[in-house]
Amino acid sequence: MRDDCLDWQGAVTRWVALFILIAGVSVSAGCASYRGDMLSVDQALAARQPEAALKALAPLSGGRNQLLYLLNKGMILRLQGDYAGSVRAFEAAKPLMRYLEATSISENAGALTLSENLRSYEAPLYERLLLHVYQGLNYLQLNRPDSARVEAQQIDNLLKRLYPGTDATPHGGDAFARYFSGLVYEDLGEWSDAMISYRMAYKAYKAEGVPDSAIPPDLQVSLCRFADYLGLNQELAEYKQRFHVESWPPVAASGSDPNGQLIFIFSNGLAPEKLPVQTVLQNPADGHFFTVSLPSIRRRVPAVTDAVVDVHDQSVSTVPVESVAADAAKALAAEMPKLIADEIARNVARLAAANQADKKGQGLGVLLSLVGSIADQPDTRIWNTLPDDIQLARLSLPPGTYRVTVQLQGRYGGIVKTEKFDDVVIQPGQMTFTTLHWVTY
Amino acid sequence: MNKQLCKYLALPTLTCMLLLAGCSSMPKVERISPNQVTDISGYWNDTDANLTAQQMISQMLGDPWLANFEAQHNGNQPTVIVGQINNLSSEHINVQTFVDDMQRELINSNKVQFVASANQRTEVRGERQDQDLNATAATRSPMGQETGANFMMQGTINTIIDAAGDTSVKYYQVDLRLINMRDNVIVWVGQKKIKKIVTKPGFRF
Repeated sequence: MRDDCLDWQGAVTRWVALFILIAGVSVSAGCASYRGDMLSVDQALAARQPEAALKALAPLSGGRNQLLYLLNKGMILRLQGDYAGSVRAFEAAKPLMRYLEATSISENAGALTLSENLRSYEAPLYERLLLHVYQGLNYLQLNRPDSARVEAQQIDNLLKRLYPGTDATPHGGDAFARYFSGLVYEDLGEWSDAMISYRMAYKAYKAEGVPDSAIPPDLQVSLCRFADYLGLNQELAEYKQRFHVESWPPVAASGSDPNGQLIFIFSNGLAPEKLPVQTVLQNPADGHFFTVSLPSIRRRVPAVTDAVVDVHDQSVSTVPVESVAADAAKALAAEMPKLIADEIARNVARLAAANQADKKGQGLGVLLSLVGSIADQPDTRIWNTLPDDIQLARLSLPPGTYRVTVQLQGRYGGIVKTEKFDDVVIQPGQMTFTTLHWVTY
Repeated sequence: MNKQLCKYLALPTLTCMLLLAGCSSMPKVERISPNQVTDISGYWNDTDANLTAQQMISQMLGDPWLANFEAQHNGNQPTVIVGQINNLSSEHINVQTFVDDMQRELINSNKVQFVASANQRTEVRGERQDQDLNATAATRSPMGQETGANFMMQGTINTIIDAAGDTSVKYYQVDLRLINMRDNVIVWVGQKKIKKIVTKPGFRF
């Protein structure tokens, strides 16, 4: 009985050893390929060649990176101005996200013995929320505000499902998604829902540690404006005291506002990269190798600080409303204890396999632990084509057709680029959403 | 020796076979009846659209607004135009499918007639304008002969989702109403409610 048990343990350990040797080389190659492909994508985007970026992205399609492929594809198609194509890519990503929420037995087995990269890519919360935000923008730019409202509802449902009974998520990422939802409801004339979303956005910013003085001024005004309109006097007094806002445009009955509003949303740069940090150690006693292999975040600081929007007789600077770089850093920090635990599990599995291999031949265990350690690459996958940060400006304009000029202000002074949007139509009582994603690499 | 080799390779081979089993490159296609209930994801699907259309048709044909109209108009059938059906739900729902189902059943019942909606008639008017220039007088459809609708059909689709962990309850409510074009009186309200419990698997292979 005991011999049978030992045989079984031996067979399992031999399987782990063989698995490490065979899969090690392919996983290492796969990781290098992913980073190389995304480098080509980023460079093509910076060169304003979205078609080339799509071609460079194509090898990522399918398998464990399918979700990343769809997310990046949706973003590149947006950059190309193909909003309908972007809608299709993002809609394909949504059910995959839900499917990947279930724990995979085979992927966990692989990840706990060989590498984190054997898991399918699962988007962190901030990416899931930004999927809905950019999908909502797609719909707004396709003049389908009802469909944008569906995205706002999906944001609410996702947050309620994952964090029931809380006003803000523990690791951030929800503030702008709530703020955006408020804009969508406001666009549809649903003032109560707009107020609820703006209030939740404010709470989320506060939970992230943003002081009242740094809350986006447009959100400050919107909170006062709708609290006033809805007769929430106590809440209004509180906002006035916190923000020192004394006046705001009145909320007109639906359709009776003589002016329209231009909402300009500026997506600045590219999201941070995840870089591998790998330390390989050797036990001098038996020669076996151990690895500490974890990802780190490197922000890709954009060359542009903000945008100045000139239209009619107004000139307004965009204001930061979301730092994707900060969200990514917080998400990784929250995940780190689990990544460390998984790393320990992999080292223990490799040690057991190496010890078993040592019994079969001198040096085999060392070779196995070396290959396993090299294969144990950190998971550096991230939705790269998101921006570094998102900024917003709101302008109230008389109805008409305008040319909107946007000057991108350089980080080291001067104007990096001037973009012009012709034939922007402003209609009374309605919002017009215009967006720009400026990629620098 | 062979026995030893088999023992060494058995587990990895089995694992590889299981992995490859899920990687078939050819899709499997099976034809089924359009009436068969196929709930896959728990989202709004063709079954929900069919159930909604059936309920609305039976309510619309059975409720007294129709008899009242016929009595007031010498037995003539009412003319309806489809207005906005607002999707206020949390899913992207194609409302056109059940609206088309309803139109087909109601037209075939010979009790209600529909005129082209605002979007549909734009193309028809363009063609009529073209006929004015290019068609012979005998075949030309003249302008100004359209039938005005007596009622406009409007509606909303709402959802309430209650979810925790892997289980969610989805409640859909579809409301349709007929509004008299002359005096804005709502003459009929139809309603369909659908409730589902969706349980998502916690594990996958």
